[in-house]
Amino acid sequence: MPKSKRNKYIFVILFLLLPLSFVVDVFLGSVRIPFAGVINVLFNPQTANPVWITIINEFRIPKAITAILAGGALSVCGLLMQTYFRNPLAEPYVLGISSGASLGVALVILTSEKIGLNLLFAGTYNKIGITAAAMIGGVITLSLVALIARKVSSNVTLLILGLMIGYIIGSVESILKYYSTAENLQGYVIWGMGNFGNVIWRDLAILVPVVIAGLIASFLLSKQLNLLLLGENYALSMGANIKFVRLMIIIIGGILGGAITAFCGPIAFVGIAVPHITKNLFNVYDHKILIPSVALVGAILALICDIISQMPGGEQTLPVNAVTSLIGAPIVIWIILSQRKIKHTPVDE
Amino acid sequence: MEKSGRKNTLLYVMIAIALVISCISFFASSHKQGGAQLKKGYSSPYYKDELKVKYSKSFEIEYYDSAKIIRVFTPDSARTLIYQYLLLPNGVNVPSGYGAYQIIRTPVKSVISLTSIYIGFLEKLDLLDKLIAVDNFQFINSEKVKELIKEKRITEVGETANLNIEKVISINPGLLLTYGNGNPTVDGHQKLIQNGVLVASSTSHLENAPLARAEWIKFVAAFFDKEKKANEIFDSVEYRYNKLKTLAGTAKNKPTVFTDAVFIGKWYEPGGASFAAQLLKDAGADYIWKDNNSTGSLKLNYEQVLDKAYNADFWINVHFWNKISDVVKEDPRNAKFKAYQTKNIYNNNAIMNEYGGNEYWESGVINIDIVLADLIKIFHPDLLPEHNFKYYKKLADE
Repeated sequence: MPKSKRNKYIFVILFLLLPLSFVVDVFLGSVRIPFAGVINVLFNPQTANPVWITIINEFRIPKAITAILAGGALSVCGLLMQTYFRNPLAEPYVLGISSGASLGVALVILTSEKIGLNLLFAGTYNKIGITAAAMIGGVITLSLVALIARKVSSNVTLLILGLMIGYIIGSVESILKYYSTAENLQGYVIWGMGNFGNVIWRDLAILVPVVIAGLIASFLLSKQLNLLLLGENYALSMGANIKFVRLMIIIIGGILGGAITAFCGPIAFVGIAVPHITKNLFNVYDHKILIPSVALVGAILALICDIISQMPGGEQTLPVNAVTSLIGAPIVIWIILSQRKIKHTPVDE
Repeated sequence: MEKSGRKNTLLYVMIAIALVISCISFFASSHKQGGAQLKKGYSSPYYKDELKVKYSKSFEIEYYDSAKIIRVFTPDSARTLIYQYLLLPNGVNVPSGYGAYQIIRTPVKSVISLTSIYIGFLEKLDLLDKLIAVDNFQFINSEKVKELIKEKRITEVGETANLNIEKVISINPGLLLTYGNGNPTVDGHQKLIQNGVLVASSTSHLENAPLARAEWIKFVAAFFDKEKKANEIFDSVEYRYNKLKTLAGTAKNKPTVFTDAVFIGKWYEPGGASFAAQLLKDAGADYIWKDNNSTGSLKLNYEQVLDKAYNADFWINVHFWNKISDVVKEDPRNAKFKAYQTKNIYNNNAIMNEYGGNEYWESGVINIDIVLADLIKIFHPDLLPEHNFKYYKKLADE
């Protein structure tokens, strides 16, 4: 079978898999609602159990939409990072975007009244303010990593840099926590370790446009991303404005990673695992195909992770971060073991 | 000749061995039984009144002629001994055989309190003049303690996890009151104890019976020889509590109630056998998870709470909320509950300091009768028309 035809089939299957996993995710939850009950809620809400209507409309559907957005955004963000740094191990979590976004949020929530940042971002615990702070935090951290990354050439060193920046940010965060009031701290903690389920319709009104804009912008950069993949000199010779492209990637990456962190908290490994799964699945390196496919695979994987997190059945659910790590970390190990370039990074490349 | 000589040697050896054994046993037994022996059942010249622990299963106080012994146990059914204290009046010799005990001279002259529960107890017992340090000024609600802080008579030593050990040692308190979860290695005051600081740990926060929690005032009082006062305080609390409980029992309808709010994606409801659940039962309410037999808290998802508490009449103990608008500000989905629509939401944060320190966890522990009265007023306002809320308030409708 020719590659393009095969890829079309895969794409169709994935396209069908997305609504299927969406539906399964909506059906499953810690309160058992029978199949007929869900159908009733969706198509005949007048006669349905009002509790089930609330559970499905206010909890499960927004949660499933959030999973799609988070999976898509983090995966594309990861792809952008991998192309930018030409490093298969780059991703928003490892590069400290998530920590930077967290710090932005911490500054807004924890220092309210003290520095007046809260006022600057319009109102108490305002979600738009928090999202903006997280995105700015994400962009600044990413710029910092990108700036330092010019000094290093080793793939693994870059990750260590990201980790170190993450640690520094983490300690600034704990110092902030130490000096904050109990009320602000609780506000921050409630935000801090979120999951897909914390997102409500009102938040989606912010998250949906941000993620869609980020995805479209990334898609528009496909050509330049392809050139970048071939090397900076080649891209220059083809007339690409490298500086502009780099800046755009940092802004888009920071915004996608930061926005998701603002609403779901740090979610590990989706950003690194999905681009690799997708590249293996389609066996292509063209970003015009890669970006939509990565977004699709990311959305499906996030939904599947959310479904798995409901698996214990009955009362308990697993934290979604545990599930993404359980699936994502082995993939990272596999990448490290299978790619000669990473396994044997020379000391002075 | 040679034979009898051998016999004699054997005899001497045997005599020598017998001597050695009897010597060892004599010294060993004198070590065990010698010195000032503790006697029980005599009228003690030191203690006119005695404290009897009635509700709590986690500690006991024993009286001897010239000593008190306090033992603290794990709050579970295994009831493992975790701490033991030998309290001796000044001037009384230390009896031998109590090496495993912390020896504390009473009445204690000065005290550090590392948890707000003790502040309530100490204030009730008129012992605030003995208080020389607390964990964190921000947690303090007591006006009297705040006054002492202003006069710089009380200092800060940090919370248990962040305790400034050097400062504690340099203050050299007569006693350091803290709380433990029942595991001496984890509770980690070994370093203080090794350095001669006398540490007394309670597990009062793990008590599930409301009166048992209040009864820990006796634990504190014993170190200060305040038996009479502690008995007076506790007996009147007990009397009023039981009277109120009987009153609430007469109510015909029992309104349904649920507590708390979603926190980091999870909703923690008190188990059906916990402190909060027992208070609600005594106040004549029908707690949604009353049939559960856990003494800890239930970790639920939002949708599970919604499923069970959707039509509950009352909603109480809700984070830091003060106004009805706070309920939906934190999560608009909270508006789905019937209790929100009928505005029957009450919080136990009527008295808070500017840092969020809640009086409920300070004096509310010993004033458990007032807490119960507040709850009865919420569920059955007609039973206590004269009572004014102290710890609870209805969320303001704005």
